[in-house]
Amino acid sequence: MENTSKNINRREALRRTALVMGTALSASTVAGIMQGCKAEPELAWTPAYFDEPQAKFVSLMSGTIIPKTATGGAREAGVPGFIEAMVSKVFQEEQQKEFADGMAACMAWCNDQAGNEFIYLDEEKQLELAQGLDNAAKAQRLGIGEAPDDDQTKQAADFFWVMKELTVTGFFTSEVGATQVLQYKAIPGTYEGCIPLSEAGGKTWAT
Amino acid sequence: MNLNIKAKEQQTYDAIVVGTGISGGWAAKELTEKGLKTLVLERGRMVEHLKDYPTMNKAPWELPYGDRLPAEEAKDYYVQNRTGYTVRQSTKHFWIKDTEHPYTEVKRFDWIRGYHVGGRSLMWGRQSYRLSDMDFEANLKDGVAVDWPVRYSDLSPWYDYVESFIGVQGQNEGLPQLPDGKFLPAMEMNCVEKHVKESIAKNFDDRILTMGRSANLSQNHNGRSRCNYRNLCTRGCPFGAYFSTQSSTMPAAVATGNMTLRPHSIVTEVLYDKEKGKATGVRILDAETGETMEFYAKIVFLNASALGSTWILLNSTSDVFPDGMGNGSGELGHNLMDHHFRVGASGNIDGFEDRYYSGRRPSGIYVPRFRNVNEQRTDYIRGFGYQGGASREGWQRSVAELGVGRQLKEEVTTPGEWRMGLTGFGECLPYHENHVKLTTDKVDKFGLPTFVIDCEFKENELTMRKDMMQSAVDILEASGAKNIQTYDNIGGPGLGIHEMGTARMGRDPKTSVLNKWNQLHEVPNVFVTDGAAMTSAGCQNPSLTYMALTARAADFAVNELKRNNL
Repeated sequence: MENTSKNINRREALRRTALVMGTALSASTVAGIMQGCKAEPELAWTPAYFDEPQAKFVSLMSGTIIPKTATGGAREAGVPGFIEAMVSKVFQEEQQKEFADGMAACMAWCNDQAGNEFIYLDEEKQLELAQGLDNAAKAQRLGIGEAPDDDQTKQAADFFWVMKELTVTGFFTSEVGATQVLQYKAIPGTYEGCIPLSEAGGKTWAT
Repeated sequence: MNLNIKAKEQQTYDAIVVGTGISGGWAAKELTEKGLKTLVLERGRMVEHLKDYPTMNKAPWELPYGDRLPAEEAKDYYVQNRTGYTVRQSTKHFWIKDTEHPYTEVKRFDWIRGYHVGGRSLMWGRQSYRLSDMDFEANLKDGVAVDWPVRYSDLSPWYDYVESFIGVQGQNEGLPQLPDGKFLPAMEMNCVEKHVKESIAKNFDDRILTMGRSANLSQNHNGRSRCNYRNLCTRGCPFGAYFSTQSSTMPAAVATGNMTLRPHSIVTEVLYDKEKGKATGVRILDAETGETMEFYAKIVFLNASALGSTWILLNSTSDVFPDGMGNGSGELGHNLMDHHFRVGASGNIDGFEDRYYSGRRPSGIYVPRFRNVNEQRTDYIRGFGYQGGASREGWQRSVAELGVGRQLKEEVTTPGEWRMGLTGFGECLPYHENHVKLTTDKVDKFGLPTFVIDCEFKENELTMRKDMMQSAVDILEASGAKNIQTYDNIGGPGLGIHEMGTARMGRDPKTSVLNKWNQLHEVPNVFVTDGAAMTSAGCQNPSLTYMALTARAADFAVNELKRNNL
């Protein structure tokens, strides 16, 4: 907490919003604000399908899987909005339900692990949780390492696998991911089948 | 009265071509270039070269939903979607909506279609292989179905002719089972494909690996630009660098001034004059207005696709032809074939970590048929070829192989392992009981009868598949591959999108529908030169053979017209 007055202002703003919207803040949101160690995450798009906690969770989880470095990460590339579009429009009803249930399990798992909601944790802790989920998912799906045995972790890991799939798909088909992190040529012009990696641009082709 | 005569004159041409896909475009080009005023009928909408390729220049991030279809929209494509690759944001406008074109599956049959000018010539895989005498003689030697009425020597000059016009890149290999052709320089193989080619040469004396022969231009050709290695062919090519009706045959037909193209024209039957014993033209249903019209001509070419052409003939009934035009043999609608595929193996190849490629080549490699060529197997007849290729794994490996966070982002920039894949394409025998028939129990939105399709792969195909998988493993093992994975996911017939047969060629009118010139035995001025004509399937991708049969039949038809024989 560096700026108490700012925090108070934000709290005040939230209170006003709640009044305007005529809705009460959820207990967990209030807990997060009261703890106040991390700013309420901002959304880069207006969710139409996810509710606000879901949208924030998807946003920060995708940003943890592919963070901003010298190049933009998942959030900068619009991946959270992509994920919402995929889940709300492309997924079948059954997959949508699985995704929502899985997300709830994953949120709860993170809470149990860290004693706070994922979205209010610092980046280091978020990364640690994502790594734990990634390992659990790989163990479960690929038999690499020790698979989780409790239902909540299993469900959280399954959700994470889908979440990671959506995140990398959204990111590496985005302009930032394809052209800045990987390399992309709209019109290669020629084909060279067997050249040194360095002469082929030195990086993975996006397509 | 005068008005009627004039109207009839206006609806009279020298020739009518039904369909504008691979073979229809060829019929249009050949007939118009030989001076025939030709009406070309297409059941679907107009697709103009370049103008109607809305996605041809779209980058990945310009396609919504990562190029996938929303679930609600995908419902319309419940059969087309079975391929797993055809219906995308970038290509959906070229595939029919199954909700609009229903049929009945007695057993699963995946009928994958595009109804528009250019047909599947726009979305085809472009693989272009000749059949050989091993194929043309196969039925006779095996005592299967009926003998082809032609041999390789009949088609060879026509293969030369069509290859020279469309442009096929590839390598001559001097194989009796896969004849050489008139090829543009072959596209290059990548490091691992070259390695597997060498490994095969070292370890096997019955098989080779060659560049897949495809109708992609490796150099400028006939006024068309060479390939620019985007590998986005199925969206329509801004360079006209692969063969399609639009890029190749249609411009040639238009240039003659002899072609009238009429989209939205569903041909419902071929008209027959009992006195003359000939067809007089066709009846159409205008898909936009619902109006019924008739057009007349001296000859009719049916190029509506194997099942499309057979549908028209089965629907052309009269007292002379109660079971469909030209169906005296009872074989019309029978002997439906497709290639069976989706079986093979892939594996990682080490040792080329410092090598990569640049550009996206639009064709893979090919391992021509090597079974039942010299030695005869006892477990199955005929054979298969492999299509495939090697590439380095890309970002798709992130989920299973890479971690998360900054680490993922760094690791993904180095290309992953080299992986070589081989997919078998096998011959399917012509079985009389694999057939289609018309029903009025289910009609389409125009009230027209629909197909009941009853087709399955049988023991010869299923036995062959075991070898298709194992031989792929053998090749990969001989190439030092690791982590070899096999697969066999047969799906339904039709998935190969190589429907063949149902109006087969043959020597005897009692057992076949078409003669050696692709004329209906019973109605000599009606020609069928698409996949319906196939007497057997071979294991090669068949489109090039349709082109050669079409050019040959058109030449014959025009000569016969000149001699007043038609």
